Amino acid sequence: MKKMKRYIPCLLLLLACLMAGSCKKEIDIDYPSTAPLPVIEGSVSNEGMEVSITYTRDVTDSVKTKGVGGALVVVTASDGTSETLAYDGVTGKYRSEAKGKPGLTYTLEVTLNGRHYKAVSTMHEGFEVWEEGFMWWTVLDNRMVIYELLMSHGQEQPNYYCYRMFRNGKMYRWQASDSRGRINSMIPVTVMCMSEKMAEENDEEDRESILYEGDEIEMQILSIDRTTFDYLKSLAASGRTTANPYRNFEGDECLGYFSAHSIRRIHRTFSYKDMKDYSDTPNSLMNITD
Amino acid sequence: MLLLAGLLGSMPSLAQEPVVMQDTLADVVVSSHRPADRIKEVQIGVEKVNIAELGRVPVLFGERDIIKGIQLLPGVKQESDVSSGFQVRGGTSAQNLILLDDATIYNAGHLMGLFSTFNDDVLQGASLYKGMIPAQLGGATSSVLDIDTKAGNQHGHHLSATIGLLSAKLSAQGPLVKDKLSYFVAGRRSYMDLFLKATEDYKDNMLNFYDLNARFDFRAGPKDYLTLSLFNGRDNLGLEDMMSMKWSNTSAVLRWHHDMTDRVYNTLALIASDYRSDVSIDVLKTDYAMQGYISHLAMKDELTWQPTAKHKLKMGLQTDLIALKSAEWDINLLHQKEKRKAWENAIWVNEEWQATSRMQLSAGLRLDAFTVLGGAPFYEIAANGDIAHTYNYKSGKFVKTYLLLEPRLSVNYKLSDAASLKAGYSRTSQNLHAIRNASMSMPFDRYTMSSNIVKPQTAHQLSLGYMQMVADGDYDFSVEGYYKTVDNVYDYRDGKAFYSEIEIERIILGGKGRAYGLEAMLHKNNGPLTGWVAYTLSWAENKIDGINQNRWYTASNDRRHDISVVGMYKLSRRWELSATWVYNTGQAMTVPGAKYEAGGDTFYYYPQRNGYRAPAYHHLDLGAIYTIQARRFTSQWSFGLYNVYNHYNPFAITISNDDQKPSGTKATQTALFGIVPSVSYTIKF
Repeated sequence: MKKMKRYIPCLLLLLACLMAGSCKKEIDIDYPSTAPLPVIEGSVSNEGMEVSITYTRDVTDSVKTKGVGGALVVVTASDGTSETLAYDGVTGKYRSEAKGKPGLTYTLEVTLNGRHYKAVSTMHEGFEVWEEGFMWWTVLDNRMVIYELLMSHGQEQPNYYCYRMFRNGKMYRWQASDSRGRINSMIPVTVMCMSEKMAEENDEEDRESILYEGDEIEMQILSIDRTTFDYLKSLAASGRTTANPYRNFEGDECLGYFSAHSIRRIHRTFSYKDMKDYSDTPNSLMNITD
Repeated sequence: MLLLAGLLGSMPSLAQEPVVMQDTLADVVVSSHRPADRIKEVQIGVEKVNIAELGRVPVLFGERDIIKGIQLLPGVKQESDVSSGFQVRGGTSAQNLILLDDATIYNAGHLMGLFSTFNDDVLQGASLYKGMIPAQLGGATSSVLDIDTKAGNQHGHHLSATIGLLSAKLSAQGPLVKDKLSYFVAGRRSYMDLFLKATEDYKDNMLNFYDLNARFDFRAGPKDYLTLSLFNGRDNLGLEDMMSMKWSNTSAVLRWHHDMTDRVYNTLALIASDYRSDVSIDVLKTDYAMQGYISHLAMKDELTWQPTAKHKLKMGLQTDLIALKSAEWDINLLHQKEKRKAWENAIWVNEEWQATSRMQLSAGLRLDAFTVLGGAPFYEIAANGDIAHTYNYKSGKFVKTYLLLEPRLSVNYKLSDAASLKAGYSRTSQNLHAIRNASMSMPFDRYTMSSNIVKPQTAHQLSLGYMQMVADGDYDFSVEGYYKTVDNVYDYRDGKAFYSEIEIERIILGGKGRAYGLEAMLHKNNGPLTGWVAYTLSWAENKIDGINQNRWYTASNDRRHDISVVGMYKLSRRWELSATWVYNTGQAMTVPGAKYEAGGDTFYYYPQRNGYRAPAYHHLDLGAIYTIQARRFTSQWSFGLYNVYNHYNPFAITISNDDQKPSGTKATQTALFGIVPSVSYTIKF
């Protein structure tokens, strides 16, 4: 057995060479060109109303497009109230201070260059956040930095939510999910951030994923409706399925979506010294009882 | 059936097909593989697979594999380097039916499809029907791969053992009662997990597969012959306690061949098969487990009557009770399942008729009745995928019956002893549908059956071919063209995956497909150098509402050009060399035409489905076999070199945004295998 053990690393190396002979390389693709399409992203929340209108850009264009003014943007609620959103030239967005109310259904109508776009969304109550934080956890012998949040929701039916984690004002991680199989009073949200090895090696290609000491983190928890959930799931899958997400707007062709939601924001500064260590207690983060 | 046989039995006597009694250790050469037989073969679009020949062809990791072998035939393509699925004439692997001694096998791959679940040591031969299927076979709209296992030797005991890079196999055969009862048992198991277990870091991981075959042949009397064929294949993959993937196929087939007269015989088969998959993930507070199964309990009876040398009539019936669990899952605290039952019956008649000295016909008719049985909820689904209404039927109640009449026709017109012209038409149907997120078969594919919502998939195919033999059969050349249409092709709605909803009808949409092409093949049959060159020119297109603005689009399995060159050279009594070179036009893929921002992230807009081609796929493989023939045993060393010129073929291409670069976007190609050497050793007693 001892002799055999001596040869094991060689055999494993041989198998690894054979099995993991994969190779990655960058290739050139001649992308087709298409006429720019409008992209509308609208929201009604407990914080106010906001709509941005941009256009698609070429695949090889590295400069983001700016917001487009000159559109008529109207939000109508199911209680009969209506708001016309004003264009803010500084942010390039249409805004209103009017706050959304849970239980109401909102209709967004946009008229731009003679074309009309319309979408509907229902606002639900927000989530209550009980506990959150960064922690260490071990996955296949790799120590990983995890962010976990524990939240609850009043309704017993499945809830749909979306988290968005921003790092220093830039999107870091996001996901739309539902609470299938969870007790609504105890819904954990887990965000896989990076491995300890990745942080130590600090390769340039990993810097989008690496969290640095002092990074400002904003975690947003959105309570969304089923239509928005379906749209965001199809949007998230679009890179893998190479298919456009569902059409969320009626009328002329455009991209984007409209969501009426309750939003909860959490701010914290990333610091290794604040992290709890659950490396040796797999699958028992934060002592949550399901 | 037996009554009918009795009536037919009073007709004058003529020669009939011999009962198969395979009793030599030597590799089998399927008789109709001979060029003269290929000229005479009435069925168009059929490939008789020569197991012995395939065994000499070099393959990845040196694991001889019937599925990898048939991918070298015209009109047949592989799904990917690591898939045991194959695509025939523009169809997907989900549209193939694989039969092992009449039992249906699903997801026929080991190690996620690196090679097939069939141990080549136990195989006698196989026929691949490329959509032009005789009436006695049904249940597939693309192809039927009909595999037969070997019978044990009736006169002496023999043992064979092989050890390769990834697995070892052992087979034994011989008589239990001389000239009466024989056995053939074989097993294969991977052994890399034994090394994993011996290490501290990886001992909790699981990575193994095995397959077991057993066959017993019993000559009960001069007119009765019984066969019992058993199979079990299983894969176990696991990463500690976090993830596991298991799948298995089990089958048992009892066949009774009875000669009623010397020109009427009947074959009765009792068939049980069971495919199971089990996937689980328990990581980061996500606890997910999913199981599924498909089981068949079937009886098939076929009567063959050859009243004259010019007529051969086959008629039969099959009844099959199918139980299918599309999924049963536990997602955290949620437990859901969807399982259904169906009863499928078929009757058929097929006549092979030598109409004139030059013309031979095979004409058949198959009537398939698929009955969806109650005992599970059925739905009415709204356009957005929501359940509009639920129907509950009592267990066993007939919910819906689909009746499908499937005519099959093949004509062979002999232009001379060395040339023939063939034509054919077939209508085929399929009531079991595999729904896949990936373009290749995986253990977490979900399956569903025709229901009140899901319609049977049906295909029409027309085919025309010409075959020419030259130089007394040293060479033969064939060319075949085909055109086919397929209705009710189901796929996931955009953005949906196998876990999205338990009610599978909420997450799938139906569409249609069409494919056409030309296949040419040149065989060299005799001399020290043998082999073939196969070329396929083909098109495959789909149309599914909601995709590509509801217009026809190129299917992802469309390959415009496909070339296989296979050469085998007998250098000496001991050395045999072989080489294969394959080339495919790159896979059709979808690339973006624009990008945009939403929710703080960047996404792509796709103007056309599959409008772009990945780089071409090609590799050259070499093999050498060194055989030592001793008095008491034969031993064989097999050496292989896969992808000799180390060309990295695209397995996946990912496109990602990179606004830090002037190019704005980065396209990355991932390839799986460079050059891969292999060696195996076999000893036979």
